[in-house]
Amino acid sequence: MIIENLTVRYGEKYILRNFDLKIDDGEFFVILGSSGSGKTTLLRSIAGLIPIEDGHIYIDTNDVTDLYPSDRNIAMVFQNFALYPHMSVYNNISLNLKIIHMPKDEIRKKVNEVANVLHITQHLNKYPKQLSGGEQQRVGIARAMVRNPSVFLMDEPLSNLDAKLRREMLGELRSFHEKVKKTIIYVCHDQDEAMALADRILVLNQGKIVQMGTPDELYDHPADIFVAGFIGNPPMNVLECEAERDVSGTRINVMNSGYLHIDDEIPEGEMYMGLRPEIIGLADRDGIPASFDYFINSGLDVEIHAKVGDVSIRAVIPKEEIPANLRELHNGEIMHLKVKPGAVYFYNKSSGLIVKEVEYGVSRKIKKAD
Amino acid sequence: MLRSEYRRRKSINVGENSKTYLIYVVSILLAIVYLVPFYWTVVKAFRDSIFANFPPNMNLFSQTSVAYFLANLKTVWGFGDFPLWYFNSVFISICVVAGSVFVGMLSGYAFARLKFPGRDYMFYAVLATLMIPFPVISIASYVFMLDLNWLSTYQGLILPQIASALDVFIMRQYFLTIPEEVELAAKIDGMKPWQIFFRVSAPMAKPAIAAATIFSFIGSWNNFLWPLMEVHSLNMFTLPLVLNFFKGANGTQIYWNQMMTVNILTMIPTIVIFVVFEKYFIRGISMNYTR
Repeated sequence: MIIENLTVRYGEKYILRNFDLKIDDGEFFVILGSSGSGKTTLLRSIAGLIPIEDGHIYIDTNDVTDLYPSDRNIAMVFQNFALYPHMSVYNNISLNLKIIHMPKDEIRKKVNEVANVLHITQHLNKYPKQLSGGEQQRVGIARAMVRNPSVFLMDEPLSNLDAKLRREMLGELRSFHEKVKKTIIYVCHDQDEAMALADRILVLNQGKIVQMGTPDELYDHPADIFVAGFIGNPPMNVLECEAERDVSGTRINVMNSGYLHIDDEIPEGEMYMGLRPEIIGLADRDGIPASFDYFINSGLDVEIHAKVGDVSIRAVIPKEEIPANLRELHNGEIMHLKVKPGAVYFYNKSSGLIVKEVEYGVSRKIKKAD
Repeated sequence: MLRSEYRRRKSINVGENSKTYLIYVVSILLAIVYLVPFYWTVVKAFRDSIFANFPPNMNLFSQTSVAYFLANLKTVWGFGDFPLWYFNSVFISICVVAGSVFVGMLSGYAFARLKFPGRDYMFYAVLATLMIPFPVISIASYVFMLDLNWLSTYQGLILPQIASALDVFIMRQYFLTIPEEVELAAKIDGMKPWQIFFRVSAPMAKPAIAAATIFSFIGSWNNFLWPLMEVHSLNMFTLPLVLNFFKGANGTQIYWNQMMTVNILTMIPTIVIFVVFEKYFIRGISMNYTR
């Protein structure tokens, strides 16, 4: 699927401008963005549901730009399921086949087939409101699947489901993709969903591609401060810092609270520093002082929130490093943090683009501020 | 400690309870105030006496008989062209309801969903007509009908009532609450816009249709002023005119028992309509689509 030069606007406001994108066949492609990023607009223009100002859209090398939605060989799954409440599940799924006048027994065969795959055979005679959210969304997926489209468009299909069900459906969507081997374009604002599902993620912000790549690429090498803060759970710590040349590398002044020495050379000046919560650890005495805020226990690890000055810092401490007296810490009590070996990212303060990604040295602690 | 807590809760309960009692008492009193005239109407229709006594005899079993009611019914049914007048009322109301609900659906949908220049201003203009009482435009309407030569005709009685701003409003508000995605899904399923309207949006708006049906039926069924001006010949009479006419049919003496029988006959269709659509009515006037 290819998008060329796509431009969409509402009134005077351009949502997308000269947007280009190529999505490979059979790919699970996730478009990730916060609300207002243009992700739903992008999806709807692919579907032909909104008028586009300029540009072309090709699906399977056919130019579908001027085709009616149903003629584009696509199917769509919606966040609020968008089932027809006055029709039975069977009619919901089969309506699109009835409209193209497919013979009745063939329709029955196809509907039963997809109902089987999605485990909703026992619900075919019920009405949508008699089903749970998860079941309704299965019906939504079945309705998309029964047309055998070349592209599935999914608009935050799991957002209306509760957390447990969402986890379950993540697995099912993955296995669904393995089964149908069709292109899926999936829009969401939840980085967990994106990481779990995608072959490739596109991060969209204000109608522009911020970064595109595999989930690992985005996690390991966020090219932009927006991506850095977006991908990863809990999100990366983004701190102000200042770099100065040093004898054997660069000395980083972190918010005037401590220094960090790195061996690589990076341009001097003020910038942002990105530290994943996983590489922040607890130190005894000589770490950077921080006031304890609260912690969240997951069983596997503990996410500690502490404040350095006014800036909140998240640290994920693995189980074996959790201090025994953690529960005795009070809000506001002073504790010490250190930076463990790992990747540290530096971003330009004005453009937000990556300046340098460095591998921070082995067990070098932050020196206390003088 | 525990006991005082128990007492405290008990006293709260007492407060709650007395509030509940008060609500019940007031509701029941209100219900009685509303029901008494109906009760008297029914009782009177089952009596032989034509007089309205004061204070009224409210005893259901005194001087009443089914035979009296049948006799009253027979008299009333034989009065003038009563069956024809009844038919007129039913026919006109059905046409007005069908027409105004249909027009309301179409224009309500257009105001809610379609995009065209000046849409909202046009809607406000339609809405503003709700503020104008009918008597104000009645003369103009009358002259209009006169010019068309539609006086004392069905179309003259029906058409002016079909343009109902209330129905447009009810339908628009309801369509606004239906999630747009369902229509987008229908588009992807291959329906053309008019199919989407008739097969998806309109069926989803059943509660609003029910509310609009009840409102426009009551409006048309009870309409007195317009037929009074519009109708110049006896055979186009509708029931509200008949009621008025019946009052003076026997000179200065009103035959109250027969009058009440006409009332009962007049009320039946309204009650039927309400019973049929009641299920949707509340949802319709709360103007909210809920899954």
